[in-house]
Amino acid sequence: MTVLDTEARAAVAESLRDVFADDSARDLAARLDELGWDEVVNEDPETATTMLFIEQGRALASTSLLDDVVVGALDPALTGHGVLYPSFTSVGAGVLLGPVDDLERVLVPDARGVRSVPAAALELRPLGGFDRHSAWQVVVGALPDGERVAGDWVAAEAAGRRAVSAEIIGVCRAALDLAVQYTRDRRQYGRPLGSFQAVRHQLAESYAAIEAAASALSAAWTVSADPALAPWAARSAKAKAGSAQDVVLRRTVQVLGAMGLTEEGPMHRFVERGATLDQLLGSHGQLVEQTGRDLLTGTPAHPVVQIWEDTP
Amino acid sequence: MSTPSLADFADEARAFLDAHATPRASDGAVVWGEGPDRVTYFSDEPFEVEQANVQAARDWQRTRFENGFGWITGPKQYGGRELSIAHDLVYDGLEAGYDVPDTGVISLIGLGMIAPTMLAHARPEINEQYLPAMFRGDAIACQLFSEPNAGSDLANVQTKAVRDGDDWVLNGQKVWTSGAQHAQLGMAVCRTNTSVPKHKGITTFLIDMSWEGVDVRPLRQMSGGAEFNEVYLDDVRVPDTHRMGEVDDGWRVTMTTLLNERASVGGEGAGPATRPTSRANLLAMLKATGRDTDGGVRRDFARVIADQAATEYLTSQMMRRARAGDLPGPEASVGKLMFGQNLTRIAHLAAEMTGPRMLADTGDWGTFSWNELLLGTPAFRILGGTEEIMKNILGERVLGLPKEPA
Ligand SMILES: Cc1cc2nc3c(=O)[nH]c(=O)nc-3n(C[C@H](O)[C@H](O)[C@H](O)COP(=O)(O)OP(=O)(O)OC[C@H]3O[C@@H](n4cnc5c(N)ncnc54)[C@H](O)[C@@H]3O)c2cc1C
Repeated sequence: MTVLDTEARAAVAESLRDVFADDSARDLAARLDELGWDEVVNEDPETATTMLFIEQGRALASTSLLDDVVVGALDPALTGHGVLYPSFTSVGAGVLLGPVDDLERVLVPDARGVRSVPAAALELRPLGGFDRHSAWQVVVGALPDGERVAGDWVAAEAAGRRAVSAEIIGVCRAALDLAVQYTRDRRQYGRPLGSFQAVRHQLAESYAAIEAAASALSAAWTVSADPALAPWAARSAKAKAGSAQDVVLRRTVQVLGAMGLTEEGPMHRFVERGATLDQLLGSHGQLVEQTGRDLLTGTPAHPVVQIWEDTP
Repeated sequence: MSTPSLADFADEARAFLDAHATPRASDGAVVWGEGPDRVTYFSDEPFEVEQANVQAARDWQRTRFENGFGWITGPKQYGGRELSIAHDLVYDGLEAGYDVPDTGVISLIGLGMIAPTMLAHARPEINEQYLPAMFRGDAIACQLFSEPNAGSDLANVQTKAVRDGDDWVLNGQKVWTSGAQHAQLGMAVCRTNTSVPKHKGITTFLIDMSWEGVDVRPLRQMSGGAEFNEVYLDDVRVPDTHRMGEVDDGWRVTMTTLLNERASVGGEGAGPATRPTSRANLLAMLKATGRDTDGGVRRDFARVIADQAATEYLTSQMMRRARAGDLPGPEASVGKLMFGQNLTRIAHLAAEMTGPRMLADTGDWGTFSWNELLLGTPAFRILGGTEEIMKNILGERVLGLPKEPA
């Protein structure tokens, strides 16, 4: 249930933009504290989390805020631990959102639950590759032993997926804003590019894809407290956001012409971040496949159906 | 010397290739995990590696030229052999069986687009001066067309050419110029008349990139390659002999180049992407990734192969006609459109097969390099006229639909 009204949201969004734009030495946590972020979260967790991650996506910031969401859902007593995300590369045991300098312990999900391992024992290497601007690290080498911790990884993963969905939506909205501004300003054949239907239709399709993803995310939040439905709904939301970035970024790049392809312009950063976030906690291809398999093996009905029935 | 029969010519070509190159290990079969796995169309190699590749291309082109295979269909007076398109195709077919350096940096733009334009529109003494050098691999040529305010609307070029005695003085800025960093020659599209409709006040010139006032600055692409450039022209003096076509009639000259470009992107145009996007390579990848039993992936694979076959046939027909001197018409846009779409789909199929590994630089053979192609494919939907412009051409010029309101 969202509590913040439109005006309050606009104010919060603006403060968050300042937080992400602030490149002073103070760390992100200090800046969020200053904003009284914990209170906003307590008052309206859905709006707060979604807005925070949308702004993180817009700003192309690479932080470990996602760890706090995932650990918070697992067991708030573990706050401050890092999280090892399941590997989406063929090397290494998993991905961390940044270097472990400030971390003592890292939580590692596995088939039996979650264990906590000493951060200092992990061998790291920057993820590199596609998104050269992220701080992400790949853990290489064998994982150290660690003690089991209590907590439900399935719920934590669902919370993480809702947050990453919001981040992808933020990336897409910023890319779309950029494309809209560009096609308004640039003229060819004596007209703004945005006046050509071939261009506007691509932007309209992008908008529709983003709104569909945002709506799937809201739907996922309506069942976030239900342990049976939350994982399904979060998975759908993440799949929808992942496929939206594919649709949106292909189109926003195209309408910029050569400008969309050069490193001189900002568009490539959105492409790289969008594609990388799609992989985090399951790509849209994988999530849809997984859902298909679950349906075939008789796992309960799709939660979105449930949501429609439950919502007055 | 009389024209050799195709059979005699093939023997001659084989003897040449055997003497100067090594046959490919296997005829097209791909051994997964072996050989180069680069798939980029646009070089993203470190500068020294790129320089070495360009030098290898030049060397191979010179070897071809000195042995009579550099310009098989070209006029004898410019170093060609005046043989038929069939001879040309026979040679291409045979050379494909050998490991030879990729010569795209020379052939795609210089030999494929600018040379035919020169033959049609430049003075004989200019052709004598430059064409043999181009086909010998000494002179790489670039296309100085696009400007910050003239992309799709190319006829809007603002680079000024002003007559001064026997010379012209050029001033302006070109952008997205592929290969300018390696080029000795450039074909510049300039404004010579501002008091007539824009298509009627354009003149084209051939310029030497080492002339005073030509400044090349690299621009990086998101696929990592520093392949295109900005080129500033600052009081560049160009002798009138270097004008191609009549004064103010440069749009016609420009169209010669553009139509050759549309026909060639998709023919030789796949460049280094040809091997990895080949049927054999995709098949090997399908097996190596264990996705060969997945119905969805098999269907996508088969679709891609069918589309590739159709596109290849279409573009080879078009190239054949273009090499015979028959300028392709607006239908050349179909080939370009199909090629761009195929490449995009192949990149996505590869992403589907390799899975998320593609995103990280794991060093796994054949995986990460694909994401260079994934990042590189959007370029094919832009360069040589965007997909939207190709569709407009088909709608208006081929289907005869009314123009969009201006
Ligand atoms: C890799 C690469 C290499 C290149 N190499 C060269 C080179 O060597 N030499 C050279 O001169 N140029 C080169 N170019 C430039 C290329 O020709 C231009 O990028 C292209 O013509 C599009 O122009 P633009 O980038 O200014 O896009 P714009 O013209 O600004 O177009 C932006 C968007 O608007 C759309 N649009 C524009 N007009 C219309 C319309 N009437 N109807 C519908 N949609 C429309 C376009 O389709 C596109 O999606 C290269 C480009 C790339 C990407």
